[in-house]
Amino acid sequence: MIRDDKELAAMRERVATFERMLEELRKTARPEEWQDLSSGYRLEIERMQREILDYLVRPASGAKRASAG
Amino acid sequence: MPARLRRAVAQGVSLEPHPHLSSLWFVLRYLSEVLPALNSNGDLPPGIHRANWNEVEQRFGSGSKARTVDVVLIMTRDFRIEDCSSESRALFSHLQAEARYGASVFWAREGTLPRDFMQAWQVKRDGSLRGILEVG
Repeated sequence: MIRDDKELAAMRERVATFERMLEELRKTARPEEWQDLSSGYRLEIERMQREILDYLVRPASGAKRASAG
Repeated sequence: MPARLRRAVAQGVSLEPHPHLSSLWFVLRYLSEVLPALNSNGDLPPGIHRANWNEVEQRFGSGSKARTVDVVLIMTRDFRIEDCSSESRALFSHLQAEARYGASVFWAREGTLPRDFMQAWQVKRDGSLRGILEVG
């Protein structure tokens, strides 16, 4: 679980790294193996993206409530 | 070593290197005892630590806490997945390997690895670094 904006930035960087891995690996992978080879990287990226969204939809800890006027 | 993977070994699944296995990395988390000593986060110190199969079996084969394990298989250039037995083939399908052995298995072929491939496995989700284990 992402706890703060610093970890959010780290997670985003990790997603980008795994996407670059996939991008490089697909250049040389054989078509008949690509589904198996890519599946782990895809799942890891999806897990990280889910964690990012879970963090972003939580209220920010320092956010103030809007006053009713 | 996850309990299901340990049971599979007990039932005869060999952990001996596959003839097309070039090298293999374990990314171990939440271990109770490993060499070198774990840091305060329960990780290996940053870097790639080499071990042989006997050391892995002795350290992780039994008697330690359940944990999650990422396994990275680096196969030789001439590896062909379609030549694998059905039992071995499960290792190369992430979901099947996770269901059958309780480990997250990633794989690639030597000579095709991105430049920062092994560095990437040393970065934890919070951005800090951990060590990984090379078995060979």
